[in-house]
Amino acid sequence: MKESILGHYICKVEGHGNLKLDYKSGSAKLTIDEGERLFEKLVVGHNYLDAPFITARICGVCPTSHNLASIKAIESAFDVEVSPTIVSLRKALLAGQIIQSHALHLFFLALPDYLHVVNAIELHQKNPEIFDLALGIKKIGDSLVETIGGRSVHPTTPTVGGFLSVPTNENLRKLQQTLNNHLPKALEAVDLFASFDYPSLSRKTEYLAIAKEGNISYYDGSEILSSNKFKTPIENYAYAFKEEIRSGSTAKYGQRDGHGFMVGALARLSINSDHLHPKAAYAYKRIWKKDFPTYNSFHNNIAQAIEIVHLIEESILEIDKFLSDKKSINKVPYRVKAGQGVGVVEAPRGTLYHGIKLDPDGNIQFYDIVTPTVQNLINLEEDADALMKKHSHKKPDKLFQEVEMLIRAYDPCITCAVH
Amino acid sequence: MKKLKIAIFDLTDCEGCELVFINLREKIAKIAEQTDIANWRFASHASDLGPFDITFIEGSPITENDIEATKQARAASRLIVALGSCAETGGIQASISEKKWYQGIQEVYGKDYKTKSKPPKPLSYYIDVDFHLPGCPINQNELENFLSSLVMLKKPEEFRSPVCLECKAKENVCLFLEGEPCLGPITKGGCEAACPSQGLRCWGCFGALKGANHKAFKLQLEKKFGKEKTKSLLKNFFSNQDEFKALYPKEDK
Repeated sequence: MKESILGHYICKVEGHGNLKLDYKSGSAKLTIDEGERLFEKLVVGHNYLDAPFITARICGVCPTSHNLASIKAIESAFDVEVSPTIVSLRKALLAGQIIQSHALHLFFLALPDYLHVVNAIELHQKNPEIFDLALGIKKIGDSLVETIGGRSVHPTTPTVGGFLSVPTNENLRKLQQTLNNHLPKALEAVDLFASFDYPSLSRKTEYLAIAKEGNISYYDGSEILSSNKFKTPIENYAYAFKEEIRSGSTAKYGQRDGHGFMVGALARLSINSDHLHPKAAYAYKRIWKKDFPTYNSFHNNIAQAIEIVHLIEESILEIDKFLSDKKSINKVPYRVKAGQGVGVVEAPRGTLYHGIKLDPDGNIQFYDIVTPTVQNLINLEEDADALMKKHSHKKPDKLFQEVEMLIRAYDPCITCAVH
Repeated sequence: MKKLKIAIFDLTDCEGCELVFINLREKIAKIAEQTDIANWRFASHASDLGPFDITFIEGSPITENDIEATKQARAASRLIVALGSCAETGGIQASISEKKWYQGIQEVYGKDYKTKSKPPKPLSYYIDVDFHLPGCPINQNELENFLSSLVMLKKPEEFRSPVCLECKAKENVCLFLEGEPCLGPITKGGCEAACPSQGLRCWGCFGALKGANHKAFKLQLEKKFGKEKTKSLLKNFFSNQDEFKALYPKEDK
């Protein structure tokens, strides 16, 4: 441990993790040292309406994903079917959340390594063009979430059955305009991230994401789909993988048949890319040019950049659908009853599961949360081992830096991974 | 003139408040030009050990490292700013009683798991705090004003009226009168009534307002929602505050 204030933690990732490398055997260990947060216990006894508000506070970077997963879990327990226009608005909101988070990760956490600056803010003077690009993309995500979700961090508008309030048509049209204007910038970002020389790494693994009729679906996937052709309804998530507890770590570790697996942008594009909208498909085929899976987890950066293009296109389309329905209602009525439900979305870092059990008055009896980072941790360690073995000829400090860059490429959210 | 040396630390929390710094976008670049952001793990490789002029601390001290870092930061800083409700009051993660917190750890991690952490407390439980930026999350405009004051070497002003003042100014429908357990009347403002303006009741995330009639408001809540629910409502964000302790002196903490 270095003699510095919090200095021994890996910087430019969300939350507190330590990296220990054994150069002799070529193995890496990532230990998690965020305090226990106990959100699954905190919500027990609360009324169902409190869960989306409280669970959003698990993560400041992806609060809207938690909020929506929680709402979906409750709606599934009450058998609520929301209208197509509500679904459209939620899809655009979730897209905004993923763009926000990808932009933060790509430009503010990952990019400094590749451009050799101490932090992204330095680019304001050293490379103003790229700094403007970073702010432009960040702004699209922020605008989507602020306009539809009510606030950039911790949304205020989404609720069980729909929305407490929806933006005016005028504001949505303005938003669409901003999105359209920024599409070229998003393509520039793909260009930038495709231009970097990523460390070589190739290790076969299994990718998981949620899908609807075989296509990746961020908001309403009904089944878990794997790159190994494994398939199961989302409700069976507890059977798809196991969460392992390790002493000395506040996070749990997800595994399938004794091995790691990967979720997130790279997993989604590696399973299939049939869902990509035209500009994103162009970015994938014509700018990046390589076919996923490449089995190099550093390429999660590219996958995120391609997803930003896709999700801008997606939100423009979904806002169109919302605007074209003149009789849209903000909230559907429902009846509170006892039951259990599972709510799943593709969060920025991968599949996020919320499971809930409610008593007849709608009070929470049980709550379960499985976050993407929990699912990625073992795969991350397996990748880090492979990287160390492949690059063992390099100097220790160079190798340490590369393992750190690998960790950043995964975009781990340690605050989410802690239970 | 020497630039102000700033550090931004995060303890156990969601990191949403430090994200508000980045959400300032162009403005954070301007602030960074006029100051020296010398230690910010979340967004920078810079890890200066101080001394710092101003240190922002986000989150609650929970782990051994959190608690140690909190004390180290105090020793290395002229001014400490508690960033967000987790730092100021313990936040929503502190709404659980100590007994339930230890029980929860066993239930989540199993009987063999040994924690080295302590139940979440506000920063002020361990160190002296000079300024507070309340909220879950903090308000972006408040942060901007606060940073501007610092850059201009002006003491940031803290004036708090209830959330209701800002809510009324926006001509919102009163959610409390509509039957919602809205805590606006007894909660510190500064959030621009972010939640009630969108139809979401105030949860009290900016903390209990000093001088508000908490006792009378508690009775009003109890009449509408019952004793148990009222306590749970007030506990979410006020559990470590004197106002809550005065209302529930026997509450286990």
